[in-house]
Amino acid sequence: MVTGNRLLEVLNVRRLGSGDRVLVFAHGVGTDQSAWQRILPFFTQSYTVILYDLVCAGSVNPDYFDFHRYTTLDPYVDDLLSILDAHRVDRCAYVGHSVSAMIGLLASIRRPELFSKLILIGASPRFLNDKDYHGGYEQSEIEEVFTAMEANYEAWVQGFAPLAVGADVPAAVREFTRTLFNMRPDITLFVSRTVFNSDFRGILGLVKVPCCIIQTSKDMSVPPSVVDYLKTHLGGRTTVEILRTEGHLPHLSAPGLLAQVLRRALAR
Amino acid sequence: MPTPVSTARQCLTPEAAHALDEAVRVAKKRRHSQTTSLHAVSSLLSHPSSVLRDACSRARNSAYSPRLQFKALDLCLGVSLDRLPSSAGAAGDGDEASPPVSNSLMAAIKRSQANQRRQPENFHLYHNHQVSAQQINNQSSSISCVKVDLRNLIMAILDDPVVSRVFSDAGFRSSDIKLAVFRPLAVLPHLHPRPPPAYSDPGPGRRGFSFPFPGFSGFFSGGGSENFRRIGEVLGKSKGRNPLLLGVCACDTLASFIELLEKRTGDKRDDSSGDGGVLPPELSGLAVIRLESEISQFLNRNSDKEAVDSRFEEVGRSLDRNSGPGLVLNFGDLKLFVKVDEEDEEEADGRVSYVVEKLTSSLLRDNSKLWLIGAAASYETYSKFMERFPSVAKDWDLQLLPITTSSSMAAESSYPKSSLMESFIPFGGFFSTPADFKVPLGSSPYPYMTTLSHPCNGQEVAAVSKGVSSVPSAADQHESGQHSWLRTAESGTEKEGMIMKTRDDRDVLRCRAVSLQEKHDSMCHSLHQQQSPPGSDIHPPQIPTTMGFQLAEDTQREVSENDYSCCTTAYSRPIADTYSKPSLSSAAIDSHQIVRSESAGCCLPLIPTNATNHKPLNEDSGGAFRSSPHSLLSNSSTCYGSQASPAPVITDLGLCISSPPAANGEPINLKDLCRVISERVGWQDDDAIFSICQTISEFRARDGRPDGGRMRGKNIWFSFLGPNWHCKRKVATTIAEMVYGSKENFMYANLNPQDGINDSMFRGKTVVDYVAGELCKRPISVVLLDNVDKADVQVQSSLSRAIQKGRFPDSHGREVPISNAIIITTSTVNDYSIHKDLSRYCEEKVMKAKGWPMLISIEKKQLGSELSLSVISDGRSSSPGLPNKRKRAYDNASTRKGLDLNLLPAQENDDLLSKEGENLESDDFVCDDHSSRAWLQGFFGQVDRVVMFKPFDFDALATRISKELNKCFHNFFGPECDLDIDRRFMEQLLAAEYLSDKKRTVDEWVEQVLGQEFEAVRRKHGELGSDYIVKLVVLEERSDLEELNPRGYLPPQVIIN
Repeated sequence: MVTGNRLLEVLNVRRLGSGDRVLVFAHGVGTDQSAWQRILPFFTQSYTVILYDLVCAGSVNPDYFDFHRYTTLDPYVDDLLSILDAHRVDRCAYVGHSVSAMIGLLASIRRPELFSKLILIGASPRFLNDKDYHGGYEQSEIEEVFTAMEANYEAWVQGFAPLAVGADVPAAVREFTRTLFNMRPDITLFVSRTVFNSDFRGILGLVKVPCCIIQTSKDMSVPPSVVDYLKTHLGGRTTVEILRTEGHLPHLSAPGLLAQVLRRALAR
Repeated sequence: MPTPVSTARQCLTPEAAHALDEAVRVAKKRRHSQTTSLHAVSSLLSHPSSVLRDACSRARNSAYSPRLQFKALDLCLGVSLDRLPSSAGAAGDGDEASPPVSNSLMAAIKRSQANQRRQPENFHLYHNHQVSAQQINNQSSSISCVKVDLRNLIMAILDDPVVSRVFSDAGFRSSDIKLAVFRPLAVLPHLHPRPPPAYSDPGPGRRGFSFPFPGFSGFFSGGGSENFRRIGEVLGKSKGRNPLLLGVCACDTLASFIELLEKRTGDKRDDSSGDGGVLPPELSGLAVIRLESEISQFLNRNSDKEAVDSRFEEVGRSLDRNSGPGLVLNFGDLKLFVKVDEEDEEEADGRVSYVVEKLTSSLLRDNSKLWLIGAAASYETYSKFMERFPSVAKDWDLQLLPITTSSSMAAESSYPKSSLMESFIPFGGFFSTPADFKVPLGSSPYPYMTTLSHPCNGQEVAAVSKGVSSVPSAADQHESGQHSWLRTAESGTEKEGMIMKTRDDRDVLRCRAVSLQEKHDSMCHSLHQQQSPPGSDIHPPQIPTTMGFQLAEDTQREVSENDYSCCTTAYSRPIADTYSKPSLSSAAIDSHQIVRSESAGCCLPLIPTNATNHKPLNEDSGGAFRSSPHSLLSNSSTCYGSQASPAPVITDLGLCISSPPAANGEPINLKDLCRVISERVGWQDDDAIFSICQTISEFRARDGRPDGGRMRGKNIWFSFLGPNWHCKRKVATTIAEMVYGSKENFMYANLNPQDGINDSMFRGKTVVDYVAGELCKRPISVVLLDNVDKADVQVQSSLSRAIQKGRFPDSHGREVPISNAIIITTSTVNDYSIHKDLSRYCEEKVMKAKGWPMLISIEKKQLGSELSLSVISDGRSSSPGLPNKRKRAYDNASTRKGLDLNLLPAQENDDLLSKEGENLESDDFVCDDHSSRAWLQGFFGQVDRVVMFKPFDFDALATRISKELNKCFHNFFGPECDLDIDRRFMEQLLAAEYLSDKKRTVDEWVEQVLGQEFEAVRRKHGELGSDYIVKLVVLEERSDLEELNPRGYLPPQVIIN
């Protein structure tokens, strides 16, 4: 239990609200749990909300980021499951953005009984293009990104944030820039590599938990074909919601809209 | 003056005292006259398990092997000690006279004492749980005389310049060491389940926990190691112990895992602990047998059964021979098992089944020592295989293992080249930062000490020192090891490095390292300074805003009071005016009459409320503003009319000039308000308007109502219920204009999240934030919030809070005072929308009308066409039998029922559709519906005034307009000619009339524009007989013709067909 508690402390796990149903919000790379801040008020009344930071987040002491351990997404899954166990959650709905969506998928493969529903925001099983798969990136492009990231992290952040946010929402860009810059650059790079090296295509069929894919109408990281791919290959009942907004971070750029869709998706 | 050892010992905990004793012993041995910090360091380092040594090993420069570096340290220390003066002639009596503690060491003890006294809690904070247990007790034992514990003593000693020189000579930085002492490596049991795999350990020179970064080259066997670890875990289980890797990279991973196992078994003799953390200890020494090539050959019909049989026999034999934990059978990619063979399906099937059977049987033979391992690239392969051999999952005891990261890719060369990782560590991970969203990490108040002290610098130094050493490719390495921005920033460094290469001098190296570190620090520094602005920007400068706002609020408060006094002083005038104004609409007169009758009853109707409400207000706001003359004035002016004392009136007037209403030259007056509003929205019933106006003037007159226990300032809350959206909006803007002096003091938000318009308007903000932001900008305004019944939870809670506390919270919890706002929430709650289905023209439809171009078309009447014609007329009279009478048979009473018989079905369809749409929408919120309704009821209970709006009588207006149209038409054409008005046409006219500020806009348009057009028609076609019909239609969605008429619903000309 000591390890569990320590983990809760390290990953800034917070439990909010008071509802019978448990709802877990997990953020993606480049943000931390504060990204959900605008979404939370919609749910804290009817759900018990659990928030945590991924170990790579800027708000977590970077010393806990073990470069030997977090080489795949599985250790992140371990963290998530330990958190849920520490909070004695036996069933929950899970909202994951980007990489956390993938972490949720893995977690649900390992412990299907734990998840009543997965909501995947801006999820992609594979970012790189392949023979008959369009992930949106070529290996060379990715390398360019990494090079840019290494060359001047700050400049890269400044350039990348507006692209990722997509919609013309300065506040969201600022917020994303902040959280992205909070991350230690080496960790950002490392995690990005981990994410880009991940390939979930083979295992989507193992996911039996019902999923809801929430996608914005235009997302620089996730082309529409990916959504189709996810929908066809996920093993459980899967629905798709297209948000009438743009960008990879709808929870920052269009929180109201996303909250409504989330509510709807959770109610189903 | 040296201090005797015994005195110094009193200040120390036993542990520290022991260290001092050791130091004294060293000094004695060396026959030094005093025990200095150097002796202490020497003694502290001599123990292999000492805190200082441990810290040094973690803070050391990872470029050197620790052995070498410690040797260097020893040397440096020895040299320094040798330089110390030895006590002359004290050789003989060494036993009794221990060298006293030197001033510098004593000062260090004192410093640490003071330090410890000052920050015991800090000390606790950074305490390692293992070490702390023994020391915390000691620490708390004496409060009067703080006993310095070893850790603090070391810290203080490291501050000694002599000591830090020694350390820096040896390539250490004392700040690094201090950091390491201060914070023993916090090992998270959970996060560090096992030591880093040995196979990835670059060599004996590196310890597993080189602080805080692991050896870099060891990084990137990467994705693999984690995958291998998990495979190992599965192998170690008792059930479901045969892993089947699944995923696109599964086959690669499997191959490298097998390779690893093979390599390890090969090396076993030299490296006993060599499972690299991959396998559980009990499985150490697991052997591998590759079957995948045999199986694939067999399945591809390149070999026959015998080959497979012999191979399996071999397996059996090696299993018998095996002395270790067992054997792993790799059966390879599952794809081969499910491959569809076109040529001879049966035989292929047979072969697959044979292999599966063989595998099963060998597993059954000895399943405690035999493992199976395999991989499948996709879930489809796996499920196909499972379909074909449903029993296998159980027989083989398979455990699915999703593999999402390829090990080979992770090991790509791109990783190690990332110099970024080596050199950029903002805070050295020193300060664990809780998830405090208000304080961005970048603005952490901690000094850059940590950045400085971070060994990442050491890494760079390492790179530099490499460059200095005589490695041929040193320059290249140097370059690649350096951060590129660092490189660009300091262009000369490389050259420098090249020059320096020639001299292998320690001092030069050190200088260079120091300069590099300085540069690095300044870089980090500037980088972080740049970092903070975006962080602090996130939360807009709330304090100034609030202050400014407060100011505005206060002025406004004053102003409104002035308004009131002005209004009351001028009270008698408008009444008189009303009487003398015959041109006023009946509605206005009505409302004024009500006022008049009331005022007749109690002279000035507002006096009582006003008088009673002044005192509580004074308590409430308590500001200097609310001085007694002021309220006196209000009172006096109300009670005595113009007889108020002249001096305060003048001040008031002076103030009034600067205030919006005064600038408008129009003090708020109940009756003026009523009059203007009724003029603008004349069709609305007067009760509603009057009650609004009355509420406003009443509430404006008071300051901060104490009623109902709510102290929420002078804000007024309305709820406008019922249909008639436009009217509500008009009323709201009019109020803004009248009460606050300008239409600018009005803001609008639609609370219905289903309306897409919001998102573009709010630009990513939630409604709550938008409203709060606008309120910040315009604290004195009318806020119109539409569709409060559709509000989401967040808005609901904000509204509830605002109505109770007078402050509107945004989504960040910041509150905007709204004490001077008029907040109007609207809702079209069904209970109040009466007659909705009875009327032909409803608001929604009219509001949907657009400014399409209009067309007059002349058609010849055909026999069968009469049924399809629609004439604005009474439904009963539009029967086919009485065609000519239709337009004449106006019956005002019955028009309401059926204006347009023929379009009725279509309309019903529309209605049905729209109802379906509503249902769909409301279904989304089924779960909240109940709570939402309850909230709404509670909310309506709290607002100051709920006003029912009556639906606008579009039918009556339509009747009037059609009458007008017909009149105009028959000015030009004979009575036997028919006019047919399309429904859309009428809707457009209705919209024009409804939305216009003036009355009878359409009538004017009909007279001026349409009249001309009719005349043109007559000129063109001559007098039309009874067999012609003139149609008025809109050209909907004819984009080829013209875009929407920008000027509104009434086009300046009508197209004639």
